[in-house]
Amino acid sequence: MKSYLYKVWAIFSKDVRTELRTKEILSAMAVFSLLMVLVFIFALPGKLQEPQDVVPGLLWIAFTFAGVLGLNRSFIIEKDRGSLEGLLLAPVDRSAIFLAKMLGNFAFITIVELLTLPLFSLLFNYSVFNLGLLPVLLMGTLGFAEIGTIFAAMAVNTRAREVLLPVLFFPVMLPVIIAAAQATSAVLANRPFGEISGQLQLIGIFDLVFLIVPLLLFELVIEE
Amino acid sequence: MADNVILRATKVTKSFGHFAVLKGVDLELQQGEFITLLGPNGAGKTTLLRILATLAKPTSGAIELAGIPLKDAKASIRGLLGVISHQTFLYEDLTARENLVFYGQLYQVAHLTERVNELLARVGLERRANDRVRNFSRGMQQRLSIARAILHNPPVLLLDEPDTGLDRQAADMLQNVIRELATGGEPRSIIMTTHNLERGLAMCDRLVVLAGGRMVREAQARDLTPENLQNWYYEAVNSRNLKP
Amino acid sequence: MATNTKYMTTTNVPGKKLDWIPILSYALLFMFPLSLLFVLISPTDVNLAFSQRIFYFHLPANIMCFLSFLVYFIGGIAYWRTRQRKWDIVMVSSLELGVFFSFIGIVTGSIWARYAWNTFWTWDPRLTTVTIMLVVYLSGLMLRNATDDPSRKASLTAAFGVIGFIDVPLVYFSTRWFPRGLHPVIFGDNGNAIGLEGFMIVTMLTCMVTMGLLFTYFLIQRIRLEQMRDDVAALFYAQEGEEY
Repeated sequence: MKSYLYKVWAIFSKDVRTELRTKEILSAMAVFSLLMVLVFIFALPGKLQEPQDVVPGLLWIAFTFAGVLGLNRSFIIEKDRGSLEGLLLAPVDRSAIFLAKMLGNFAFITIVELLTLPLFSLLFNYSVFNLGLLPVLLMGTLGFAEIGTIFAAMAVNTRAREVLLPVLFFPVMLPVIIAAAQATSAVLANRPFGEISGQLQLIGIFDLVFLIVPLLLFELVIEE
Repeated sequence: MADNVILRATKVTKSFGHFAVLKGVDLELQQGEFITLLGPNGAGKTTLLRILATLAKPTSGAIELAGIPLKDAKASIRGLLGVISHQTFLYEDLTARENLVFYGQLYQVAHLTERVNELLARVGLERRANDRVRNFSRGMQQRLSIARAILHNPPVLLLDEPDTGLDRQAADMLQNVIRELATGGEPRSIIMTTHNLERGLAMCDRLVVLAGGRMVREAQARDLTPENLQNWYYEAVNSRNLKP
Repeated sequence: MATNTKYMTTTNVPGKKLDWIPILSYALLFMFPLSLLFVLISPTDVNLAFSQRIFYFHLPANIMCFLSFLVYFIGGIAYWRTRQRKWDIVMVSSLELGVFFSFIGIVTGSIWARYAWNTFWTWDPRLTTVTIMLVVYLSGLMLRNATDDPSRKASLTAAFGVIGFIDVPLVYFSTRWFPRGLHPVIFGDNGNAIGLEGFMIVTMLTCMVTMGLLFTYFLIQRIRLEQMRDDVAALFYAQEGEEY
C-alpha cells in the first residue's frame, strides 16, 4: 500500500514537474477560458445587466471546454515518445497510473478554474466569490478528471483522438454539468445551502462510482 | 538444464476471432543466453515480445518468468524485465537525470542517486545529465533509454528492434553497448527482434525464425556463417508458403 | 491448409441448433398486422383523440432501446472478463439496435408531443434521458469507427458500454431538476396519467410483443451478419496465405 501510494506520488509529481517547466497544459487552458469569457460577453451583451441568469451556466461551459483541452494533452504527452509503455512496463499497478494521471488532471483543471473565477467577476461585474461555491467546484472537477482521464486514455489509441475526446466526454458528463450549474446558481443567489444538497449528492455519487469503475476498467483500456 | 530456464513460453497464442497472430509458440530462454528473433513483417515477433513484456495478454498458453507464471503474478514481477525498443520511453521535457530518477522511483531502485550517476557515466552522458532530453540527438536518446532499461538491473532484457531509426554509426554503438550488457558483469538473458540479419547473428547465441505466427526454424549461432545466413533465413520463411 | 474445419462457417451449421429465424419471421408476419389492426380498432382516447395511437409504438420502442443497452452492457462486462470476439459481436449488434430504437422512440415521442402538448419538444426527464442516451451511444459508435485494431476496438467498446450504462440513471436523476415535464405516466394513477383500459391494454401488450419479436429478430440477424463477415475475412485470409 505504501509503495503503491509512493508510485502514484512519483507519477503525479513527474506530471507536475513537466507541466511547471513547459506550462503547456495550463497556459492552453487558461488562455482558452479567457477567450471563452470574452466570447460570452460579446455574444450576450444584453445579459450583462442580469448576470445572475447566465454566469452559473457560462462558468460551467467554460470549465468543461477548457477541461477537455487539458485532458487531451495529458495522454498525448505520454504517447508521443512511447512513455506510456514505459509506465506500463514498470512494476506499477495499472490502477496507480490511472490514479496519478487523474490527480494531475484534477489539479490542473482546478487551478485554471480558480484563475477563471476572478475573470468572470471582473468582466461580468458580478461577484462569484462565495465559499459555498468551493465544494461544488471541487466535486464537479473531480468528476471531470475521473471520466476525462479514462476517456483520454481511450481516445489516445484511436484516430482523430483530439476530436473524439469531447464527443465522448460531454454526453457522459451531463449529469455533473446540470447538477453543478444548478448548484452554482443557487449558491450565487445566496439561497440556503440545504437547497443544493440533492445536487451535491448526485455529484458525490457520480464521483464515487466513476472513481471505482475506471480503476477497474483502466487495464482493459490500455492493454492489448 | 531445465533449472536454468529463466523465461519460458508454452503454447502461446494470440488471436481475435479468426485472426491469429501467434499460433502456438514455445520458447525457452536459458540463463545468460542471447536469442535473436527473426521474421518477416506480420510474423508476430513484436506481438510475442509484447506478451513477454506483459504489455499484452496471450489468448491461451502460459508464460513463466523465473518460475512464476505471469498470469497470477503481481505487478512487481515486471521488475525482472528491462525493455529497449525503437521508442525511447523518455520524457522530453525532463532532464536525463530526472528521467532516470523517475523510473528509478517506479522500480524502487536502492541507492538511487549513486546508481543514476553510475549509469550516466556508463552510457557517456554524465556531462549532459542536466540537459533536457529534447535537445539530445537520436543516438544519445537511445543510449539514455538503455540506461533506463537496465537501471533496476533486470536479469532479462527484451529488445524490440532497437536499431530501427538509427544511423549506421549509432547502430554500431548500440550494438557495442548491448554486447557489453550481454557479456560483462552478471549473466543477462536477452531476446532481441531485428530486421538486420547480420547484426542479429553477430550478437546472439541462438537464432529463431518466426513466420505466420509459428516458430519455423532455429539454429545455434555457431552453426551459421554470415554467408549462408541469408539462404537459411529465406528457406525458413518461404517454407511457410508451401501448402501441403 | 492444416485445418479446413477451422475456417468452416459459424453460420448455417446444419443440424446443430434450432434456427430461430424462420420461427421469428412467421411470428412477425402474424403479429405485425395483428398489432396494426388492434391499434386501429382500439377505442379512441377522450382527450387526445387519434394521436394517442402513436403511443403504441412509442413506449415499446423505448423499452427495446433500454433492452438493447442492457444487452450492450452485459456484453461489455462479458468481454471484459473473457476477451472473446463473440461478446464483441453482441456489443456491436446491440449498440446499433439501441441507436435505432432510441431514434424511433424520440421521433414518435416528438410527434406525440406535437399533438398532445402542441410542441415538438419538451425537456421532460424521460425524453431527455432517452435523447442523452442516444447521443452517448452515437459517440460510442464513433469511438468504434475511429479504431483500427479489432481487439482494441472491442476493448474500447466494452469500456464505453459499461461507463455509458452506469451513466444512464445519473442522467435521469439530474434531468429531474429541469422545469417540470408534461410526460404522461402510463399504467399509473397520477394526476396526469393516461388511463389505459380494457382493450387498450390488450393492444399495448400486443404491440409490446411485436416490438420484442422485432428486436430479437434484428439482434439475431445482426449477430449473424457480423459472424458472416468474420467468415468471409477468414476465407480471404486463408487464401491469401498467412503472410497476408
